[in-house]
Amino acid sequence: MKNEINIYKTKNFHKIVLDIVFPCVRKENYSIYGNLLIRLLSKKSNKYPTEEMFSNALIENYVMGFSFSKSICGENWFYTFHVVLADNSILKEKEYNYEKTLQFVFDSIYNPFALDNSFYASEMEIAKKQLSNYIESGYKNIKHYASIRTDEILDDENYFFDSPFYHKEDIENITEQELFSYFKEVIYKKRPLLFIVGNVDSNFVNIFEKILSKKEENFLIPYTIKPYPKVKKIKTLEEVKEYNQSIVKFVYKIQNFHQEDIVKLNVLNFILNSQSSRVLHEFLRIREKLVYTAGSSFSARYGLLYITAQIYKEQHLKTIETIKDIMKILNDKDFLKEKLEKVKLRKRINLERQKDDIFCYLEDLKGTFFKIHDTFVEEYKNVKKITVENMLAFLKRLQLDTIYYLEGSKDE
Amino acid sequence: MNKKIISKILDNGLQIYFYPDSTKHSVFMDFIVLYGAFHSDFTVNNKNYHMNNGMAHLIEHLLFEKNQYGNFANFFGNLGMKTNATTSTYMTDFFVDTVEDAEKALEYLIKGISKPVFTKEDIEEIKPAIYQEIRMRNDEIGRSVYKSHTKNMLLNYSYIDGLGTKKNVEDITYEQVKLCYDIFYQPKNEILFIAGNFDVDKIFLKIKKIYETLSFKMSNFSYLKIEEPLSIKKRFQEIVMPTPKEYACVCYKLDFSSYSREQRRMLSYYLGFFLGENFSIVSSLYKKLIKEKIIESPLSCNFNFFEDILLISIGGFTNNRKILVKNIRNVLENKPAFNEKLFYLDLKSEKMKTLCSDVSFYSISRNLKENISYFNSPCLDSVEDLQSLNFRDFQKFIKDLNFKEYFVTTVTDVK
Repeated sequence: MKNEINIYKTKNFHKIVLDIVFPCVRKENYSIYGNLLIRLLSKKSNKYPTEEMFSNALIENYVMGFSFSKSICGENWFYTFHVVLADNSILKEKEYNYEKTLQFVFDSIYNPFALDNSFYASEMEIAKKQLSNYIESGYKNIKHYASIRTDEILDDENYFFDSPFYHKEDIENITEQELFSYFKEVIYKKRPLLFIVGNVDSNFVNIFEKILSKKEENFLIPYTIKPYPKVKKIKTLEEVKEYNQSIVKFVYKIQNFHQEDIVKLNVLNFILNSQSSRVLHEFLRIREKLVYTAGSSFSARYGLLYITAQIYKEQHLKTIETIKDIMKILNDKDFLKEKLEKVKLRKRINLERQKDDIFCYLEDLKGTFFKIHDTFVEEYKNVKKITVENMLAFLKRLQLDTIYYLEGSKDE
Repeated sequence: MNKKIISKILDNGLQIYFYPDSTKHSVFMDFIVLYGAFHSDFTVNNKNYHMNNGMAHLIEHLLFEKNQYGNFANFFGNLGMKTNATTSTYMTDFFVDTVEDAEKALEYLIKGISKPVFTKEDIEEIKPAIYQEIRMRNDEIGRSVYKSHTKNMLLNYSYIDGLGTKKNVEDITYEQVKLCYDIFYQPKNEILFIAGNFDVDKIFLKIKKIYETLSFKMSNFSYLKIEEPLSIKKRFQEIVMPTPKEYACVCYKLDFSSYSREQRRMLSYYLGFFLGENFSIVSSLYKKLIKEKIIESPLSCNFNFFEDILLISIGGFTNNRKILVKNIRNVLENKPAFNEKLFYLDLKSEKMKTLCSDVSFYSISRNLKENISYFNSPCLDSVEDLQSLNFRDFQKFIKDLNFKEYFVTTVTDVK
């Protein structure tokens, strides 16, 4: 692949952040594999086979952070090693050598704690238990549980097919050899995509070329949005669990959702949620005194808007009516105009603030490379161009798809 | 952190700490009041007062939401600025983070808090959101375990947590709020911390000018010194709430009265190293518990100071709470051998993080606040601190800790 190594050079920070991304195609049969790998990689390696030895090796190599995650990007999974290195122009340690450190990092990635093309059975057993516990904890935590149930209802196209919550029964069937084979296919054989921000020079590129020259190129399905079809009828679910608080969740799907709509969806989320306008907070907390906290989020890929309110059970009907009222009020031109101006101000100011956050630069690098979003500067330019009429037309395409209510049954 | 703070003090007693950084694009200002959740008992004009748990937190909500500018979140939000407030054990703070118009933001922040306009009706209006916040926190395992420890181990302190119960908050009256505000919200009991891209002299002058327009009801108060015994009465509490697995936590109560505040600050490094070496994933205990299938995930460790008392808690999700508790107690009460190489590696790691972490202004402020409130040390953690630490002192300090009085909280799933 071209441009596998993406660097943003800056001397403004005291560390170097490096995301090492291995993309692979999402396939339902392998849904749970990556979630098991999370628990097996990044804490040990073949050379440092205990947590203590590996932790000491991190320190000795001036690695301040080393973790592994799985995320979804379009039709791909991204298996990413997140690495944070100390900047030696700040630390000034004579024995700190970037090439040695990067050799250590990639050795740890490509040679995990395993033997004879298999993870150890004991390690696999622990990873399986940890994953099962993680899934179970999702069902016991009120916010997480409400999200899982809402997604179950709204996802009539099975877009979330690879959620670990749908594959708990598969965990036991995976063997340590199968998992290691998968690791070899998606990580061991492959050259990753690299995203680096910090005080680095061209020598880094030479080091990467040297370490990764024998690995295969990676394959990536280009990112595209995947909207839902038209909503046929509103789905509702109410249930009761033994919690102290209750939760109401709304999900809207955007009809005929296009790439150009992403910026408007982002703006709508800002209007509802950000401190500049806080429409949800204004109505649900200040005016109606229904919540301590309410918020919104969105999926740019699937064209979804989520609204969540954590409430007291006696107020759930009033909360549902208030959220519906809020969505109507947004169609008031003067009201919307004022909020839109606030969002534009906030976005402009955020551009300045983002200059102080190394992870914003990393996010910019990755987002634009994978074509998930524009740079923050470009995004602001697009936000500036949005008119009230654009937003009013966009709001007309919001279709209420799901209302979920989880009642906490515990008495005061 | 590797920059020094610049300190100044106004004639009215307000302490100001500056952390200038011209490489950044914003200014962060934190208005800190040395009155927190713990301060239920105090004396003013030879009269003793006792206030409900949750008073400091209620006043925080009140000043944030019902000040002369309205609600700070809306007000500063409209200007494109970030803001929030928190109440901790020993202090309450209100912060604003801005890219533009820092002097104006500072003026609004100071005047909003220092010129109160709240009414009886305002107090009743803000209570429902606090009730909901209490319900929210009651669904958190960590919070529930914390409250079990403070409630059962701090016998003479009325502090349980910062929020109080719904009843505590319901019973708070306007007169009580007014009294606490007048006593604690005065410059000699307040601190301003300002970090970022600004001119120190210019901002200092601005602050002086702002305070020239303000007047305060100065009062002499003192927090009541309450004797807290080392012993505890109960040993165990079970909490029933949704949990993926049983959770067990052991909490120890230790006496720190023989250590000065500055000593405690340095000793907290040693505590961190000790807990990491003995309970984190690099410890032999963790390996043992994993092998024996007592736990499947890492343990969590915390410590908190309450006057001269230190509470240290270690816990985790477990398949056998009795064995987990027994093992934790065994490590603490029998003190395993220390590893000098590991100690110096830990120090190296701390040094690296102190120099290279790019912490946010919010984190820097939190570091300063903790050092002031817990250790009476208005300074930031630095590499120089680390250079004064050594293995011999570390061993001696840990060996001197008397792990005797303990309490166990378990969390069991709802049937």
